[in-house]
Amino acid sequence: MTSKEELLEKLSNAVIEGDEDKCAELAESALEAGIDPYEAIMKGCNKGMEIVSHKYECKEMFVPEILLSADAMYAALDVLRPHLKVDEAGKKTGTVVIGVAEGDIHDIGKNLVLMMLDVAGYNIVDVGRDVSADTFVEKAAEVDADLVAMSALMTTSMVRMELVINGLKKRNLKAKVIVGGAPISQSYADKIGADGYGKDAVEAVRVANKLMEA
Amino acid sequence: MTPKERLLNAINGKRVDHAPVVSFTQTGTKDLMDNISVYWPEAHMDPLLMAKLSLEAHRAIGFEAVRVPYCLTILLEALGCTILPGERTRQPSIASHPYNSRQPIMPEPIPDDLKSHKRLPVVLGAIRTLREQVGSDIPIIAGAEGPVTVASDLLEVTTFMKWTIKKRDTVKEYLDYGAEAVVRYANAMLDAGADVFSLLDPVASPELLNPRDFNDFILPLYQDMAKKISGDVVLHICGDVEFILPYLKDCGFAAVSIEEKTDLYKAKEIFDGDIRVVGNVSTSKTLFNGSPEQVYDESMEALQKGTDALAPGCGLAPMTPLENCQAMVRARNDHFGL
Repeated sequence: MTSKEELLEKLSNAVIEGDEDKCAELAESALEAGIDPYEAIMKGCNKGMEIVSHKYECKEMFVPEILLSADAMYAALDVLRPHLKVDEAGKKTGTVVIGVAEGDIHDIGKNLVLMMLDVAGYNIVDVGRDVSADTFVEKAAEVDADLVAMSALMTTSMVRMELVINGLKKRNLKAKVIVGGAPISQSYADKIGADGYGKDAVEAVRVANKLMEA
Repeated sequence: MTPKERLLNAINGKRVDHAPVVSFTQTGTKDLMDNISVYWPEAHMDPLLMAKLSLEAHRAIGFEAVRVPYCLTILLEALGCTILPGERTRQPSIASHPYNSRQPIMPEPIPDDLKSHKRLPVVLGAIRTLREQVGSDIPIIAGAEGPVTVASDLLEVTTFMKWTIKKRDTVKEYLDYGAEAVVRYANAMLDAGADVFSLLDPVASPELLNPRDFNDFILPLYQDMAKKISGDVVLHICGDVEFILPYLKDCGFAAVSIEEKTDLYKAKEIFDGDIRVVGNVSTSKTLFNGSPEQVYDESMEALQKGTDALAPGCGLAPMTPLENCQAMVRARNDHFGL
């Protein structure tokens, strides 16, 4: 008989190792052992992903490993989430509309940020890639977003971010804006009036959390 | 010393009177297009228009080479990807990946007549036209997507990245396939009259792949390609490449092109004269978003750190102002008292 702590640690390790099958299996075992699914998510999945983030920042893990860890984590979440109590499932840090700016189809970075915001407890509204300014603004209004997160890998699409920011202001929406992507810098983010900039997915979450506290 | 001798000497570590100022990456900008009324996407599809636009970068900016083409989709299209043509200020992009599948599929053999497929004849025709127009003293730089980028776009990049861990044999096969196609295309461009082959491999960046895999998979591939390509190669990898500098030192190519995210001085120090470093004026921060003065200052810094050829750190953004590009040439001239 494995103790609860052991099981959750195994789950966390399986996330770090990026083992999809093992994650799903361990999530099932957790439910069978009567472990609260919320606790399994927090101390298994999220803890694993926190370690992954840390290893990424220390350059011990790279994007391919994180992609596998994300798959593994979602395999466990798919098992655990349906068993959450309603109030826990609804307990969210904030609502984020996230997408890749118009003219750009590069979405690896966006998907990493999405996954990390998901782990951090945000309600995610993914508008995909090559997204027009109007779509961003409409969606933010529709879901009453707290944050809009945009990425761009090309200079042609980074200039479209400003249109989104202007559109949000024009509609008087409360959503704050975070931006990122290879050609983006803090100075560019400041120039177009974004509220925050993250140089990578881990930093993006940190910046998002800060904006939510403010 | 002719511009061609200067460039070839500079990237091979031989004596030069001063560093050349060129671009190893795409040079099509809206200002240049407006000057001559030649626009994208037509300039991606017609050899004469392609040649004309590249000549304008030489004439109006003062880059001491002509450089084609303007996108990273030409070889990929010939190998089976479908392409969106883009717009006046938007490059063509990959719309679909022929071998995107949950389980590995082996790619079709590379066509024997690869160089007559899709838009390869456009680029080869542009090179021949340029040779006639610029004579023998101005160098022609011809670029193409590298093997890692080819493999990742044939499969779809997220799948490719996961398979660098889970299906390493498949990744290896696709990389070999990509390398063979690139070598054949590169040699066709050199045969057509190009002087330098610019190998652009953004997906090989440590910002996307584990540097350990760069050493295991990619370095041996580059070394083999260096032997098979019948001319000088400049390798460009986007992003911060500091982690792989010690490997790049042994890549076998003449020079490596870096972005401003990698410190040029550090690259020079690690390469220790074994290969050359070119770059690294920021295409987003300064060339696109900055003032001519900022471009000038950043160019001076690159020259002071000893860049072997002053060049943009990546492809020029289509909306880059002409005067910003010209500031690079001014900085180079002032630095060497020309």
